Amino acid sequence: MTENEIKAKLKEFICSTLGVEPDVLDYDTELFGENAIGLDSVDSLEIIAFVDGEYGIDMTGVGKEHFFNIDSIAAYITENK
Amino acid sequence: MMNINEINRRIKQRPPFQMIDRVTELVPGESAAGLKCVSVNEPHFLGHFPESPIMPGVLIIESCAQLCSMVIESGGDDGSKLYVLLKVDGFKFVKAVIPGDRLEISVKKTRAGGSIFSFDAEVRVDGAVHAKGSLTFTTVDRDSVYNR
Repeated sequence: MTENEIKAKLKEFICSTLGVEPDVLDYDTELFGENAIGLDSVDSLEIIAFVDGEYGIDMTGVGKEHFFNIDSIAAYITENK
Repeated sequence: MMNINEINRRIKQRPPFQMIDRVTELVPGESAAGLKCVSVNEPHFLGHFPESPIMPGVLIIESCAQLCSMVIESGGDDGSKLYVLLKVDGFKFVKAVIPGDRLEISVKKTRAGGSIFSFDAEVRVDGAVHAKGSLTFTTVDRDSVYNR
């Protein structure tokens, strides 16, 4: 699976499960924080569970810089799979 | 089948906050079915509502959550961890639950990954759906809850 396919899957998950509108979410959109699209710590656990289930990669305790946007999550998955 | 004494060995909740009276099926890590008998003697009926006792929806959710906790924790109990409710999604209270009803609760795991577990739950009375929705739990370190 290419990194772009991973990004597409992450976006699909974030929109369908976490209730984010697709048109406000690009791959470089900040996910968490004051200027972001409003995801919270519960959503981060959902993302960790999705990545674990889909790619077998445990992101528990991974630095928050890897959760900055879809690009950084996909990069972490690619580096660690 | 699991009676109240066996349930007490599996879950930490106690009266007046114990919401499962009997477990009729348990597949560890997967699913469970259980019963809760609703009595007018339960303390919340004093105020919810005077002269019109209706079981609060949050307590129906709690009943489902306690059954889910038996599915999650049936493999053993790690004293340093707590399982806590993380999310409640799409719960519908189709019909009111009143004293005299027997809740037939079924829960089925839909997702597990990282530290979270999700379940679909359904509550029937006399075979008719009264409530349904989804619940998500996570594990937390007991210490992290109290040492803020």
